[in-house]
Amino acid sequence: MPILGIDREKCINCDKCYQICPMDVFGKIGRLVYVAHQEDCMCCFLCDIDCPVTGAIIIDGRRSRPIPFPY
Amino acid sequence: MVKAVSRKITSLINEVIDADVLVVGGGLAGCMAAIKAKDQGVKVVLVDKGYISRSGQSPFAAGSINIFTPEDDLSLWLREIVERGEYLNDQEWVKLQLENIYSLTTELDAWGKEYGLTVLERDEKGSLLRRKARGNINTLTSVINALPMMDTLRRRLVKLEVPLYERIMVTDLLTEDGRVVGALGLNYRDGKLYLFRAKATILAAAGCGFKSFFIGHRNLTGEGQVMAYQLGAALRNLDQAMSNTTAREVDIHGLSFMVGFGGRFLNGRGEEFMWRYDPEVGNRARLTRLTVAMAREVAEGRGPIYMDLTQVPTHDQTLLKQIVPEGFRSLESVGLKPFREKIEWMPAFEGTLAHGGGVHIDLGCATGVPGLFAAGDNTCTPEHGTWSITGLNLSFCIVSGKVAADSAVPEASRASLSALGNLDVAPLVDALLAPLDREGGSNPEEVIARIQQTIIPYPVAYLRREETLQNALARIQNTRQWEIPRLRARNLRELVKAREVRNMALIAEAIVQSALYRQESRGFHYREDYPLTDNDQWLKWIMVKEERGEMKVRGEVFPTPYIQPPTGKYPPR
Repeated sequence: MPILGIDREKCINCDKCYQICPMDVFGKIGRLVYVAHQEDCMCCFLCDIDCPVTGAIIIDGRRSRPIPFPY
Repeated sequence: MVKAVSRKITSLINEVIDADVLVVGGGLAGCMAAIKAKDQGVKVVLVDKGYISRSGQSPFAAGSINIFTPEDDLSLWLREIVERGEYLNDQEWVKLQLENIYSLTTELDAWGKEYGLTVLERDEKGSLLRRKARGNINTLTSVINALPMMDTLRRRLVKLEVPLYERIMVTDLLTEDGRVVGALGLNYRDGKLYLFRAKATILAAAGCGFKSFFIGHRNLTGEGQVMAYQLGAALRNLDQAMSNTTAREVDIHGLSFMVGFGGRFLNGRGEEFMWRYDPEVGNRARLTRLTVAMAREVAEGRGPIYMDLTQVPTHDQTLLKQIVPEGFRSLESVGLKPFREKIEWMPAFEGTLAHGGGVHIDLGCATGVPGLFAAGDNTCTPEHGTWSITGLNLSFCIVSGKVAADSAVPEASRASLSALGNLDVAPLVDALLAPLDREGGSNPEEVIARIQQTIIPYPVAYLRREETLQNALARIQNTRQWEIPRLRARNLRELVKAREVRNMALIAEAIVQSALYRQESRGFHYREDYPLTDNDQWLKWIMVKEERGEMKVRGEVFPTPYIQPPTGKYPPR
């Protein structure tokens, strides 16, 4: 799967991922950011790149939805 | 009466925002347009569907930018771009771009330095780092860092105090007496409706990528192109709906420099097959040649296709990882080792993004609709022709952003804001919100999948025939007639998708209609039933326009002032 979650031990609740995600995958309850729409993650890795803490965003590159292959 | 209507608007609309120049879309082109308009002292408002500097395709620009410097030979570069664009380029636009890009990128680079950001890569002497990348023969490609570029633009906008309206999907343009006077937008996080009143509007909202493969474009679904089309602007060169290529398992980008640094394409037999299709540049063949060649290798039983980066020198591996960090993280996240093993590869359909056609513009970025201009990938990218050489898109975004601003500012100074009471937004709001009221109906995700199934397979995208295109057209028209009017949404998120899929379906039909019309092969458009390029019949731009509610297609002969195309028929070059 694409974005798998946020490591609560590492996350500093800086909001950056919530702020920047092009697909608006993250949600927020109070100060707590969580993965609200994993199915819409496009594996662009911008959250991972912009996150100030290494490894707080748990993500891999596998597509969240199947897209028909050209052949 | 006017008062009564105004009250009705305020009951529908949460925020009314006024601007001299409204810019829709905050990628490279939109940011440049906003900055260059603001520099001229007018009130500018920039609105984007995401977060400006991390929205659209620009953050994923994979390092390649075409910068013609004062030391280069203008006629040589112009000739190469037009010849490699297979003569469909607007030659005046090519010249305009070449003449303006150096000073504009120098300025952009200097803004970056103010913030401690490296926008353009330079060598130890401080000269632009330039390489031969995809498609280059005599021209060179410079290296740009996309995220620092976008961070620079955001900081510049903030410094200039340009108001940024984010997480707002602009859904409709507003007109008065045939003139664009603003736009309607929905903030999909809080449900607020925005009415933007503007004296001039610049569309810079990219094209439609059909939520397909490749990295970073799944929120780009053609809003700007559809809004312009619905007001009578022409969509040009959609027969050239484009593809890049990507790993089969994950979405990646940065191919131009991968092949520029020694990457090779291999078929299932281990053959470096691209030399058969393009003896001059082989693996560095243009995307048009590459994607058709990949589809043909597979169709003829020599699949699958692989990308082999194992011969890329170590220092270039480091540079590649720096300029396309997202893609390499993606490959490594699924256990692929791009510099140690070959990776299965395939074409990645991207529709009207990048060089895949879009809104027809003139040399001043005017769309033909009064008060409406377009820049960047929202347009037909007139400099490219079919698909010329790498890096032209970023240059075009920068130059067209500036040109659109230079046209929109005087237009705004001549116009006045439309009276609030004259704007009848109620029907637009009703249509936008209608999917929320439907109990049954089509799920937007299912319709998106059906459109993808119709338009991505290679008999429609790469190895086209009349019959396969007619079948695709019938399916898309069926979707547009029966499913789009019945789309349902259970929340704001689905409401956005309902509008996105409506736009995708329209652009899909326009692409297939354009592909049916062009009865020859050129660029991305390969017709098995018309395999030759035919300069006697088809040196034409394919234009799609709405006339009396119907989609009409025609071919338009265009001027070729500097480079004369050869006559006759020949195999696609």
